[in-house]
Amino acid sequence: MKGLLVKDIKLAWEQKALLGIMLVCALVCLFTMKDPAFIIGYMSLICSTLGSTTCAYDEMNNGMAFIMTLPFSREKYIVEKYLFSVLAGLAGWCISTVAALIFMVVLRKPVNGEFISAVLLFLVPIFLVPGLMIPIIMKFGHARSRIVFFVIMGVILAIGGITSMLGSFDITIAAFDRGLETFTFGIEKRIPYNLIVSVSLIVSFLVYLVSLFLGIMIIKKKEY
Amino acid sequence: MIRIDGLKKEYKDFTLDVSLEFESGTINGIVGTNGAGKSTLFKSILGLIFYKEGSIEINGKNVKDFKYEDKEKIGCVMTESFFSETFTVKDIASIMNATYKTFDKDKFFKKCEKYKLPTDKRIKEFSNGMKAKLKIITALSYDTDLLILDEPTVGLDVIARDDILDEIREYMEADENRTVLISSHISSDIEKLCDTTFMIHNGKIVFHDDTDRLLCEYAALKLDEETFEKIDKSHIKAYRKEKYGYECLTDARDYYVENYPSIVVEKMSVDEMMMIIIKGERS
Repeated sequence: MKGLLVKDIKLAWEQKALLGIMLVCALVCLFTMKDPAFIIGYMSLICSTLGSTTCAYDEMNNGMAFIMTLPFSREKYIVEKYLFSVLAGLAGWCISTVAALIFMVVLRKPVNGEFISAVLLFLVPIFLVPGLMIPIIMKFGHARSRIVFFVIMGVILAIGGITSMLGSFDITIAAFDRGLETFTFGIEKRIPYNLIVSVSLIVSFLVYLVSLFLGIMIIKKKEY
Repeated sequence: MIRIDGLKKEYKDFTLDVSLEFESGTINGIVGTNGAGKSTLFKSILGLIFYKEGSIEINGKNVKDFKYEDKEKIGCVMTESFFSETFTVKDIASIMNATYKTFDKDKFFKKCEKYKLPTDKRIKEFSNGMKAKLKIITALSYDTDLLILDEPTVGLDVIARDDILDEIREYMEADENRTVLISSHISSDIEKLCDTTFMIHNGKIVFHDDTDRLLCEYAALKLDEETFEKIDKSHIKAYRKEKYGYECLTDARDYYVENYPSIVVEKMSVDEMMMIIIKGERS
């Protein structure tokens, strides 16, 4: 698996220029928006997609056939992709958290429980993004998976729309009118925010594990 | 030794159905037209595709049970498949070093230097010849028992092809128990390099023999219709109709030279044999 990790690190490093631009944008946003949570969410999300990006590189020029002749099993290939995705996401999360903390110390902002909850909440995409993306890319290939993602997004939006119609009409309208922040605050009144963070983390980790299982099943059936 | 027993791989419009053996210490050439089944055969050996019937054993072990140690002993070159072309030679050395316990970094870089492969340039900037050489150098830079080469010389000029064939010869000279399987469209490569030649057509092995025997004892008999009707056909493997009569492929050149001194007997290349077998009738 070491060889696969070296390969993926090198592939991720290929995007150093893009990652650098994104880091600069995040830092600019940090100082202009004065929202330290933004940079953590942004960097965690971007870095957690690196693993699935390496799948696309592996696929290029029919490369998967050659990669599958290397001395490791198909299961190990998938396990490495999930591991690499989480490591990349965690790297982004750690760097951005340190940057956010420095920003808060410099501006003398308090590091309170709300900030820590937000920081922890941004661990969710680190598990959720590879959990959603990798099995779809493995199943449909990089090019077709983009269409599949749009379909999935459409389905999620449709389900969201139907669910909102099923709930209390007044609350839904009022929540949308007040915007996302108030809406979040509205939930907080009923469910403790820490509980939301904990449940989200557990659910995302479970999605990650189930997805890993699915990924192994998909690759075991693939022919190259 | 590689033993393929009753291997059957079915697609919608094509079925590979072969049983064959490759002896240790030999270079085996697989020739056939596009879509004949060469790559399917190699992919089956490499575990890239699945098959419901048959078995493939390498040195007595089923390839389906192969572990890291077994796969590490196989070197592979595929025509249109390699590491991402965004990598440089140095990147590939790092990956191979982390992947194979026996990867010889010094040997790898020396070979790159010999063939003037720039180590800091991305592979996508390489010419076809450079890419082909890099693939073979990579496969030869760790300790293997078996080398599987799917069209390693396709699209290359004579010099580049010769370099690659030299590398394969050198690989075999280093250890007499090694085995090479090589497929090629270019029959002269097979004639120059291989101990045994297998011809595959429509998913089946249509004939195989020692390459030396193919070149010495196989021949084309050019016969008019009358001679064709009378001649002893027990050593004729295939024939096809021509303007002058029949062109026949025989595996007993001397027999016909001695017994039918008036007929035209000509030496054939593997390509010409393939033409008669594929386009003609088999006896």
